[in-house]
Amino acid sequence: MTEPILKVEDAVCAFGGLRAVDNCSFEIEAGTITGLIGPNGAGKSTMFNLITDMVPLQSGRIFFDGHRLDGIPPHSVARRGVARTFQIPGELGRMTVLENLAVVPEGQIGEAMFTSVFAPGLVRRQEERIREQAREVLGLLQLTHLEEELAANLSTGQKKLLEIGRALMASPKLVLLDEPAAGVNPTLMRNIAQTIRDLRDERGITWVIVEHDVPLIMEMCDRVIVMAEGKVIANGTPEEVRSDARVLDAYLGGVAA
Amino acid sequence: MVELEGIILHIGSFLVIAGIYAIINVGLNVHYGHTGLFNIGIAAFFALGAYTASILVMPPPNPDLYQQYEWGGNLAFTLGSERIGFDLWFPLVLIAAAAVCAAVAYLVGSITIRLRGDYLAITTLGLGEAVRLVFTNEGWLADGTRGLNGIPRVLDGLVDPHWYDFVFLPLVLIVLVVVYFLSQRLAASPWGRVILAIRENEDTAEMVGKNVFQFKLQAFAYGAALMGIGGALYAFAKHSITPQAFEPFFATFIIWAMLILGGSGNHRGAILGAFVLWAVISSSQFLPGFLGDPNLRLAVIGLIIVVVLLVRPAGIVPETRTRT
Amino acid sequence: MVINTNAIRDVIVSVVGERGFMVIERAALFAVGGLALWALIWQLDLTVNGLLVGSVYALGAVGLSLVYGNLHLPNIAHGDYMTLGAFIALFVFGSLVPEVWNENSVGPFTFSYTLFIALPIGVLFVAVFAVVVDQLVYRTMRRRGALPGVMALTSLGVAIALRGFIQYIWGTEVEHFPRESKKFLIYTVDLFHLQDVLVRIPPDMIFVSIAAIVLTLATYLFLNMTRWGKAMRAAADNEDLARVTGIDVERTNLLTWVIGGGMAAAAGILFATGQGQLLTISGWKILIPLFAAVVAGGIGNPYGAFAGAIFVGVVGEVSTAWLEPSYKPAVFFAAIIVLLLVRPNGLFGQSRS
Repeated sequence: MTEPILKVEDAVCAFGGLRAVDNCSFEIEAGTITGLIGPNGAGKSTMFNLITDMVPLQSGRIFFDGHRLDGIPPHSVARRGVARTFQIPGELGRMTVLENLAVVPEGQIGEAMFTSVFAPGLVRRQEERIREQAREVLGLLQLTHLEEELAANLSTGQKKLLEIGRALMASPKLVLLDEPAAGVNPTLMRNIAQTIRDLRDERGITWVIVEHDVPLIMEMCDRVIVMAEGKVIANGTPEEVRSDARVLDAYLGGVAA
Repeated sequence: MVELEGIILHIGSFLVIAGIYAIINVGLNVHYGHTGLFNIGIAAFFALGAYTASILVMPPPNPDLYQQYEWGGNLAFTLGSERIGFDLWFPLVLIAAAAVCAAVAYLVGSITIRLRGDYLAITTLGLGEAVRLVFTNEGWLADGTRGLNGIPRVLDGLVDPHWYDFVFLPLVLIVLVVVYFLSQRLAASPWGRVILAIRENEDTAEMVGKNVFQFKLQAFAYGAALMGIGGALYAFAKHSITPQAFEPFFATFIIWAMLILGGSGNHRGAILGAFVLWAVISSSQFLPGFLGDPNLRLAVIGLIIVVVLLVRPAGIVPETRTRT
Repeated sequence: MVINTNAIRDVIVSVVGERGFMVIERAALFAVGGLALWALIWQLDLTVNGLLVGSVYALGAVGLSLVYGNLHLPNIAHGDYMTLGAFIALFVFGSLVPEVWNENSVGPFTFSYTLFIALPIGVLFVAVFAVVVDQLVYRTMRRRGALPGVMALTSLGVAIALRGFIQYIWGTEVEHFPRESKKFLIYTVDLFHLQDVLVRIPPDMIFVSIAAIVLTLATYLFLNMTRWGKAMRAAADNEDLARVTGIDVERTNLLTWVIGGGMAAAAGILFATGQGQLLTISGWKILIPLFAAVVAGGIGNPYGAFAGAIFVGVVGEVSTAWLEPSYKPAVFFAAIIVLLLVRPNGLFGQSRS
C-alpha cells in the first residue's frame, strides 16, 4: 500500500451550533479517483472548504504529501498542488474564457509589476506557452469555439467545464471537483470521465469528486467515501459501499425526510 | 483681442488642471475599475503628493511669511535643491511624491485592505480626512491653514508668468502619456490579469494560487502613487496650496464622478471623463444671465452627473476587452 | 514589511501556545476596555457631551443605515436631505406661522411650540421629495441592476444639485431658527471624592436625545412588529425571494424612502435646533460622522447605527481631552478602523454574502 497523498484526521467544523463536519477521518491514495457522496447537508462541500483552507478547521489535522495543510492561506494550498472547482461556478465574468484559464499557472514572471513593465519580451514568450496550454485544455473540454467569449455569457454547463479547465491549468497533484456533472450534457460528461481517467493514468493526478449522480460515481471511481450529517459512514470500493446497509439507510432516511 | 487672449488663457489653465485630474483618475481606475477597491480617500494621496513635492522644493522660509513652517524649508535647503537647480529636481520630486504615497498606501492597506468593500471605503474616507487634518493642525509641518505659497515653478522665466500655463501644459501632458502607457502595459500584462481576476471573483483568484492580499496591496500602492504624482503637479500648477484645497468634494468626489462618467475599467475612459467633466465645470462660469449664478451652476453640475449616469451607466467609453 | 495580523498571531501562538494566546488576547482586551472606562469616567463632562452629540448623529444615521441596507445605496445626499428639512422648517417659522407664535418658548428649551408645526411639515416634504427622486432616478437604475458605485455617484449628483438649489433659494448666509436663549443645565459631580467635574448640558440637547431614542425605537417597532416592516426586512434580505412570496418590492422601496427621508428631515431640523444655527453646508459636513456611525454599527442595521452613532460621538468628544478638537473626524475613523479589525462587520453586523 502506497503512502496516502491526502490524510484527514478528526476534522471538525461547526457553524453556530451545527456541526457541518464532525470528526471526519479518511485517507486518499495517490493516483486514485475517489467519489465523495452523501445526502444534502452531509458536509461534503464543507470538507472541500476545509481541505483548501477556505474555512478554518476548528480541530483535527489535514496532511497533504506528508505536510500539514491546515492553517495556511488558501493560495498556498493551491501552490502545493491542490486544485478545486466550486459547486456554484466561480468564473471570472468580465474576462474571456481563454483569460480565465491563462490566469491560472503559477510562476508567471509577468505577475511581478517590474518584469511586466521592463521585460515584455520574456513575458510574451512565456505567455505564448501558457496560451498554448490553455488552448489544449479548451480542446479537451470541447470549448475551443468559445475562446474569446466572456465567461459571464457561458451556459451553466459550460461554466462547469471551465471550472474543470481551471483546475487542470494548475498542473495539480490533487483535484477536488465539486459537482462537475450538474448541468453538463451526459454524453460530454462521459467523455470528461474518460479524460479524468486518462489524466490519472498519464499524469498521476489524484481526484476527489463530490457528485449527486451516484451511478456515474460508481462507474468512474476506484473508491467511494460516503458522508452523512458531517460524519464518514462508509469508505471502500464501489462494490463494498453499494452493499453497505448504513449507506442505504442514510440515503433512504434523506429521501423520507 | 483682449477677449481672445482671455479665452486662450482659460483654455490653457483648463487643460493643465484637466490633465492633472486625468492622471489621478487613471490611479482611481487602477483602484476601482481594475482591482475593485472602493477608495473614497483620493484626497489623502492627492494632498500627500502635493505637500511632499512642495516641502521638497520650497526655499527656506521667510520668517515674516511663515511663522511655524520650519521642517520642510530646512529640508529643501539641506538636500541642496538650490545647488542642483530646481528644473533638474522636477522629475525626482514627482518620483518622491509617488514614493511617499505608495508607502503610505502600502502601510495603511496592509491593515485595512482585507476589509469588505463598503468597510474599506469608509476607512479610506477616514484616511483622507486624517491627512488633511494633519496638514491643517500641524503648523510646523506646512504652516497649517495658511498653507504654502510661492511654490517655485519649473522652467520659470521662459515666458511671461501670465502665459506660464502653456509652459507647464506640455510637462503635464508628457507625464499623462507616460502614466497612461505604463498603466496600459500593466493592465495588459499577467499582473493586470490577476488584478482583474480579483475584481471578478476573489475566491477563484485565491484558489488558483494567487496571493490576493499582496496583489491588492500592490494595486493600491500603484494607484496611490499616480494620485501622488497628480498632487505634485497640482501644487506646481497652482503655485500655492492650502489644506482646504483637499476637502473631499473637489479632491475625491469630483474625481469619482469623472471616472464613472468616462467609464470605469478603461484608462481611456478615465482620461476622457476627467477632461469632459472638468470642461463642464470650468466652462459653466461663462453661462449667461441667471444661469451664471454660482449656486445654480452647482445645481446644474449635479443634474448633469445624474442625467449622464441615467443615460449612460457604463460611462462614455464602456470597458472593452481588446487583448491579443 | 507587511503587517500581517495572522502572522503576528502565529508567532505568538508558536511561543505561548493556543491557550496562552487566548489569555493574552483576553488580557489585551481587558486592558483596552479598562483604559477606555477610565477615560470615560475621568472625562465625565466630555462623555456626557459625547452621548448628546452621538444622539444627534443617531437621528441621521438610523435613516441612512435603513436606506443603505434596504436599497444597497450609500446615500451621499442624506446630509443634504437633512439640510432641506431644516430649511423647510425655517420657511415655516419665517413665512407660514405668525411671528408671535415663535415667541413663547417651551419649558427649559429655546424653541417654541411652532417647532411641532414645522417638524411634521418638514418631514412630510422631504419624505415626498425622497420618493420623487427615487421614482425619477433610482428606480430606473435599480431595474438596470446598477453597481453600488454608480448608485452612490448618482446620489452624489443629487446631493450637489440639491445643495445648489438650496443655496440659490436661501443663500449661503448663516441662518437661525427663532429661539430664546436659555441657561445651560450645570451639575457638579464628585468623582470618588477626588475631583469635582462640571457637567454642562444645553437643555435642547436633552430634547434632541429623547427624540432620537423615540424615533429609533419607533423604527425598531415598525420593522419588527408591523406587516409592512417585516416585508421591508424580507425585501432587504433577499429581494427575489420576497418577490416570489408576494411582497411588492417597489412599494417597500418607497416606504424605505418615506422613512429614510422623513428621518433625515427630522434629524436636520433637530440638529439645527440643537446647534442654534443652520448652514447650507452643515448637512454635507455631518455626512462623515454619519457614515462612520453606520459602518460602526454594521451596515443596514438601524439600531446598530444608533449604537454606532453613540460610539462615534463619545469617542470624538472624549478625545478632545488630549487632542485638538479639529482632529475629531480623524479620531473616530481611527476608532472605527480598530473596531473593524476586531469585528469586520461592525458592532451588530452580520456578514452579508
